[in-house]
Amino acid sequence: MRACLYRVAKSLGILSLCLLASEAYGAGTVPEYELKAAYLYNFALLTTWPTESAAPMIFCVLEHDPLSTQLALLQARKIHNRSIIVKEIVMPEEARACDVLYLDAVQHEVLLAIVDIVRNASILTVTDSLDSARTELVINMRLEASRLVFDVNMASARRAKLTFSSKLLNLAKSIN
Amino acid sequence: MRNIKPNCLVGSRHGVSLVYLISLLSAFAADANDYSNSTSNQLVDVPFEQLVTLEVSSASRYPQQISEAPSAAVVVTAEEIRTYGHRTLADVLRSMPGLYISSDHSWSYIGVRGFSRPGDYNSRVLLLVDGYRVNDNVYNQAYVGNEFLVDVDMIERVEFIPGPGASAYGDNAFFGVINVITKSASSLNGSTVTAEAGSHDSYKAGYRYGGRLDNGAELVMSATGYHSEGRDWFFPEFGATAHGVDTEQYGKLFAKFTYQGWALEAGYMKRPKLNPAAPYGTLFDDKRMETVDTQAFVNASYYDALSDKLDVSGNFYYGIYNYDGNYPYATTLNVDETRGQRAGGELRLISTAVSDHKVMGGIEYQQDLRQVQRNFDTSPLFFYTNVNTTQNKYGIFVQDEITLRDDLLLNAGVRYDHYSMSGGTVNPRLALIYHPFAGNSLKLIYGSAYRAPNAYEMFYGSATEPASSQKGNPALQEETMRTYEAVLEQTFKEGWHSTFSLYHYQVNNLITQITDPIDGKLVFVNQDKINTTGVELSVDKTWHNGLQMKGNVSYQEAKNALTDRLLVNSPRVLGKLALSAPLPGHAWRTGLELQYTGPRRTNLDEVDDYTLVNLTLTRNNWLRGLDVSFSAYNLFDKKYADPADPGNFIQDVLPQDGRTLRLKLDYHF
Repeated sequence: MRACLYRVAKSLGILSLCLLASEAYGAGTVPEYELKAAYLYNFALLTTWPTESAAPMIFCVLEHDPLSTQLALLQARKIHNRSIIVKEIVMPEEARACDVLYLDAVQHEVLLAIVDIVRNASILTVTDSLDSARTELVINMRLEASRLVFDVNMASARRAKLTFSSKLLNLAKSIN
Repeated sequence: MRNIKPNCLVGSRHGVSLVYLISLLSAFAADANDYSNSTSNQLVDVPFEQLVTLEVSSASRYPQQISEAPSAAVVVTAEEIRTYGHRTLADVLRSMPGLYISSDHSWSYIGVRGFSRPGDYNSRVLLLVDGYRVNDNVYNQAYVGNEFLVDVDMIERVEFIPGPGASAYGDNAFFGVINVITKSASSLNGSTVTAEAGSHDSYKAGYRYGGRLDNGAELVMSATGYHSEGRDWFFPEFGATAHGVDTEQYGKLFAKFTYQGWALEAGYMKRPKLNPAAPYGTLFDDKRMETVDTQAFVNASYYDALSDKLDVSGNFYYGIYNYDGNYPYATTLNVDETRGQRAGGELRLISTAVSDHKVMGGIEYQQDLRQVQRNFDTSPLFFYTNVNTTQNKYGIFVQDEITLRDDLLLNAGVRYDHYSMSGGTVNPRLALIYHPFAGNSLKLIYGSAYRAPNAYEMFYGSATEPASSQKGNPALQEETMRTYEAVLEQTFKEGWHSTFSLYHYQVNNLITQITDPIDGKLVFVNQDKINTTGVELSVDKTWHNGLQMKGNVSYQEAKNALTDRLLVNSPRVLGKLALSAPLPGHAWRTGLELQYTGPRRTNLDEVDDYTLVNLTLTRNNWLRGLDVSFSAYNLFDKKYADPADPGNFIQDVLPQDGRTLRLKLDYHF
């Protein structure tokens, strides 16, 4: 067993060296999470909420969402003079406090409860899944021919009392 | 006698070279692009209209096959596996509507819609791991207990599509398809060390890792080891107790590398298990009675959107299944040796080029490289069976989802499969899906399925060797099924969701083992005819306070059409309830399962109904990075038994585990 552990450790060591080596090459197309975070920032920039506020704009993701690291980097930025706060939510009720809420494609136990809560709230909801529970959300991002495109659900936007700049609507793949 | 040692494959020469290969691939995959190393904070300075033109390196994206299925698919997520403390894939399946699991202390068998004949292998359910067919090429068995290919902690979700899937998946997709999707690098997000301790001196240790490189490539890997002493079992048929003949061990390795549309996966699993019930007339209370299952595979898959309206996916695989059985008898040790090797590939296209049509088509090919079956006494050396066969099969299918009206879909598919031994078979499916309004759908489905005879049924044994008690039947034909099913799905206010299905199955030419009256040898023939009618009702709801409920009941009558008797090991009633709720303070969560299985016929008599209650308490981040969970299975220590196969056991029923406990720690860093 000891010899076995040694061999595992040795190959893990080699593996991490290889990873370091390949990270040094580090190039390619735009990484997905980085790009998605940038999209979220642009969505918020091009959206008008029903009530004006000077309070920080709260971006929410579910606990353990891999996007949160990239999103957190945006806390250095401002949107229309409002600072940005990124929050990981655990309990559905916490969703009420969000301005922008991102729900990824991963099935989550609190998802249905959250969708219920945010249905009539002025929250810009964004997802990247066509899963039926998420069809009521305002913006859906998806990959098409290796590009990240997005669709806007105007019925949901109206219910959330959100309006968009024409720039956002022009860049949307579809509006329905 | 075979020496049992925990196996260690990591770090073998092959292991290391695989690692090199992976890093090399990721290095090659790199190309120069200005934004490839950008963070989100840098990307927001790029004008939005330019951002939308950039090419994305996707984290991981498997073709989502399940959504294509026009039936009531059931999904269990990693979160639920954790909350309810599921230890094996069998535990996950046991929680699903209409499924039940029985065990003969060597393997776990899946019962679907009232069908689980003792003595049959799990060959009427197709088991896929990220699209790779796990069913081996000798017994065609889906391995779901501890013998499952992948560690349960590596499962992102398990999807079960009940009903015949032959029109899209071909062989083995008879009563249903189990689709296991493994965790991505982002859901593992770093390293996790797992340690478990449980009743009967059971211990499990594991390490898993998921990470993402700057170029978007992802690496996932895991290594797991398990050892359980098992318990002592008293069998009245022997009037004695089997001591220490229940030991089980396994070692599992898994690795996945994804880059853009490509995924390369490899896995290895070895499980030695003793059997206290003395199957095959072996000596009772003998520690040499052991079965060893070994599986290994490599699967390379590709997925890409060729255009807005054309998706392509495909895979190539190589798989091994080895079985080593040691059967102690008074005069000799008898050995059963199986060596299965196969390679194959599949190509699928999905097109939405014609409006109102979603057309999917594909081809699949599998070559059996080896189907070795040997059975021999060791002293003196004497072969009862010694065959090696090779076969091949191919399948071609097409399916069209036609939007007839906004609220009406027609899904029609047909698949042709050809076997080098048993010839061709055509399986159509037709489904009409009506969506009168959001959250409501009615599906009417006609389907057909087949199961080709496996190499064991066709070739095991010997017709010419008088000492061999079994002979093969190369003339076997596939068994077939036609099904009619109606599914109503309804979402109510407040998040209540329900599914109701009504079905009728007709199975023909069922492959059944009989004794040939001419030479007295056991042989498989196409014989039985089964009719099954049943209903299933499932309800689930999630409350805002985090309380979750899933419940279902099913009633089925699976009868032999000739005798009009219920099948052996076929409960009329199954009922399940799963509740999970945060405890006050929201730090701990409970998961409670109640599983009722109605009375079942055995070969000679009947076994009583039983209810299992399983309780799990979990806490995430108990200490920094440390998750803990505590489970009690069969909490009330209910005594129950599964019907035994009269061909292999002298017992009519085999008693199953009482209360067992487990403590699980996961440290994430």
